[in-house]
Amino acid sequence: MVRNGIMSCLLLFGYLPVSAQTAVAQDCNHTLTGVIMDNENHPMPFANVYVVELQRGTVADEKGRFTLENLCNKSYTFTLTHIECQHKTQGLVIDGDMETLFVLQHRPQLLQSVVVTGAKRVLESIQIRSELSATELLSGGTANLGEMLKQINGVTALNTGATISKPMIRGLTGDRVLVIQNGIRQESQAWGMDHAPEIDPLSAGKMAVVKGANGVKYGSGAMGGVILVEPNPLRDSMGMNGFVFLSGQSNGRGGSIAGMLEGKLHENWSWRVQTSAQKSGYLNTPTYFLQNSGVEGWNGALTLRHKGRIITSEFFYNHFYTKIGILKGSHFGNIEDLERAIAAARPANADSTQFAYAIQKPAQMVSHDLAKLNWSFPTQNIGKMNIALSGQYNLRQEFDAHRLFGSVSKDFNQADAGFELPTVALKADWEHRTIRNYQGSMGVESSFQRNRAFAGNLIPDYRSYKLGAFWTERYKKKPQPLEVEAGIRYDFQQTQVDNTKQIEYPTLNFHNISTSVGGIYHVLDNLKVTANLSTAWRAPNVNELYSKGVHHGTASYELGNPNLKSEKALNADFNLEYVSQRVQFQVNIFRNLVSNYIYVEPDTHFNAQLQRRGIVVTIRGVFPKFDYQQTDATLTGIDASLNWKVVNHVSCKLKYSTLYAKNVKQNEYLPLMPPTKVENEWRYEETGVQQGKKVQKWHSAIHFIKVFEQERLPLSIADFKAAPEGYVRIDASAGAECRLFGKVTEVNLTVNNLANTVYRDYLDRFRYFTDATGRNVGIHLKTFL
Amino acid sequence: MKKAILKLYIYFLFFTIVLISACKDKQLEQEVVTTIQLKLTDAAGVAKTFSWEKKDPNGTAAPIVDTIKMVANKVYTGELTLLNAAVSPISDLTQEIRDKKADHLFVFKPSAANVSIKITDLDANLKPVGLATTWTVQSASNGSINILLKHLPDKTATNPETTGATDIDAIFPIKIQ
Repeated sequence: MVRNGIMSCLLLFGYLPVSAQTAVAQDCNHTLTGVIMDNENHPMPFANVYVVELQRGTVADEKGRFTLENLCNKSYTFTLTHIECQHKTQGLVIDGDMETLFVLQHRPQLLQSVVVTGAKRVLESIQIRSELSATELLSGGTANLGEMLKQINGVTALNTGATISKPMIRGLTGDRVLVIQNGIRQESQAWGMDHAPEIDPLSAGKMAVVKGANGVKYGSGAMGGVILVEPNPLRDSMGMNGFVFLSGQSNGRGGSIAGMLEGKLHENWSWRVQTSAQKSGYLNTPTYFLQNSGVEGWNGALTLRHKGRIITSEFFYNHFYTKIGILKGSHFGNIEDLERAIAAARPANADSTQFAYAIQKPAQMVSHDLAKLNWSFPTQNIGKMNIALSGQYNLRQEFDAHRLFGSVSKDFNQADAGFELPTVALKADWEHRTIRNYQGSMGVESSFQRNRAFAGNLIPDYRSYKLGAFWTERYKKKPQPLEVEAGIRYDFQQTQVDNTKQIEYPTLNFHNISTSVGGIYHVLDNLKVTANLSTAWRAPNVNELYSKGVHHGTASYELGNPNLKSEKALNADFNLEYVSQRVQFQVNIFRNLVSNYIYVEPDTHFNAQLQRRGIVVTIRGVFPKFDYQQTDATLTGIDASLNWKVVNHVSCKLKYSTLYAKNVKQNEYLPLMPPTKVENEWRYEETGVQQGKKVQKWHSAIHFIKVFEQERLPLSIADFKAAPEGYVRIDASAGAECRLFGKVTEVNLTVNNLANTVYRDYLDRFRYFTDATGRNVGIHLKTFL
Repeated sequence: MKKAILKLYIYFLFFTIVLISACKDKQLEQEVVTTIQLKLTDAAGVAKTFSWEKKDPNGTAAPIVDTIKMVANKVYTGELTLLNAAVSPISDLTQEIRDKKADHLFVFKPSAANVSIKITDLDANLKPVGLATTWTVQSASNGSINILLKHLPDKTATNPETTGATDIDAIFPIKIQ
């Protein structure tokens, strides 16, 4: 029975009868780089790595990193030793230059096992890439994706209150930023100002942000950058492990719970289940509660992998659900209502609002399902093929607190605006191993989606087809200090908008060629310079082409422009990075030139019939009219960071980011761009606590964030309310790792807005109505099983 | 290899079918008001109807608005009707307000025209509604009247106009001869 089950699973997961030879090439100039970590993702400094067959080895650095050179394409046995552990042995097949992760399990009964994961060829990134570790992710507690990513320099968020946060990379957000979950493009309604990505940070193993345009590798939309949400590699050794995470926070009186369990069942099967849930009530500013600001949600994921003789098949499923309450009094019947709300110092009902958990209307209810089937197999001895088939279903429902005439029903059965977006995609890419110092990959990608508004009339229904093909090559000759990479991609996209009784829409075809060229120059061992020039594009979205009507969040009338052309980004990046024992320094200068940048502009045409300029008369009164226009935009800026180990245990971090975003056609600044920000963190860290002690290591830190007033503002567009003043926010944290009931447990205490400062942030759309949230004390517990 | 491609293709089809068939049903659309009709009847029982109409509620075109013509020093009874003329047959939305009188309030704001308006219908709490009115016209003048419909207003507030959400905000020109 079990055997039958496994057989049918095999069929389901596509055990394809592809035959390939595993002949061994005899070039012995490959490099294995890697990191040795324990199962809590802490690096194991100064661990020994020894290759039995070659009778040579190396010692990892203080971050657990090591490099082994001159390896052949064959199987080796690695012996790993660390002062805190017994030595372990593990085999690994070398297949060109590789990067690997050796994980040492902490649990006594698992001490014999070493997990070898991620045996993937990973090249040093030519793009600017920053990562958040699992520890940083979990210490965020119930924070959403956008809030979490703000920890990365140059990343901000466009907020609609504290609970809806759209990540913004160097001033670009929405459709100009891609989210890639486990290798698959997240397809959702990213065009809306209050449509946040459907990702639960608690489900991610790690998150990375690639800054700047990157159309060659990721396709349309990767104009400002790419957010990569990646799972940890699955277990490769027999056994089982996992964790339980509990988190509570004072502001919103909320909490989250998460758990993960993974293992290797059988010789060939690895699995992982993961779930998280969260609930939070009304948030408070330093002086009042925000009515209806509760959130709830859950996420569940399942991964199964079968490693066959040739083909590795993987199945991944993720379900995301969230329900978000929206501040009462932030949707408006007409412009006078909006102006009244803005003129008030605080929301009309602020003083009478009591804390509650229940989410009422207005609210959003969003779910996202992603299923993925992935096959990878070696192609002869020259490379590796990867095929991914994915299906997604995005469902967004928005509920208004206000219905014309009738009272609003309390239940959430019928949405006032609802969209569904199923997408299927197939992609295949092939990586080839180093051939005469060239290493590269090529691939094709195609997708089909159908967008349907099943409630409301904001945008018409449409279908969209995409097809893309790319090729990139990297030239790297050791020991030369210079590496060069170049790539090219072709994309085709067709959008068919469903005709209505009144309007017949044309079929829109878009073609684009993206290119990139860049290099890394290792000036010294610890000093490197990276430069690149890359392009990306996106086709205008249906809302930009055809929207027609009043936006009740902003009380403005928006009219689409059916003649819009594709946006094209040309991005130049220069990055300098210095890493030594005590100092890490990075400075990144960029300029992104976006031609045909789409934005809304107040209408200046004189309407003879109305005898007025720039307005539309509706039965709900007069609304200012905005038209979708195109201009050329330049986004120029600097992100810099310094991490300095002042003395033993004490480190100091400094971050600075600034951005000049210009509308070239109007010769003025673009609105809604991040103001200059400076951050400073002081951290005390104790790691060398005697063995046998209950507390293994601990740290405490204080973090200052200074956000300047946004003074780079457009003059032609009058804002409803002047940009808020700059502010300083203080955050603090403390954490320890200890053994509770024989389990390794991490305890973290975080305090956001320690001084309970009253402030408003320029990038928060609710700054017109309320202050930002007040002090929030969080406690987070993670126990490894 | 061919077999493998075929298999892949079958998976793809399977996915497509599952995803596309997971669709939600089309839900009911919200009602829209396209037309306001004001019927004014004088003491002699002579009635005239004036309307404010925008048949494409989301369009940019200007509405078609009648000028309210009244005779000086007369008293009229007013009656409001709200229609959705964008659908066929035209639907009368006035009943929706009659059903929920406590949740609605019409506000009448004359400007430059010498006319005063008094609401004569009351809800269950004995607070004004505004579907029925009395228009007392004084001397000849030209001006306009702004008619607002407030949804869920606080009718006990000193200025109920500043509470609740605005569902209608329309202006009629007035000519008093």
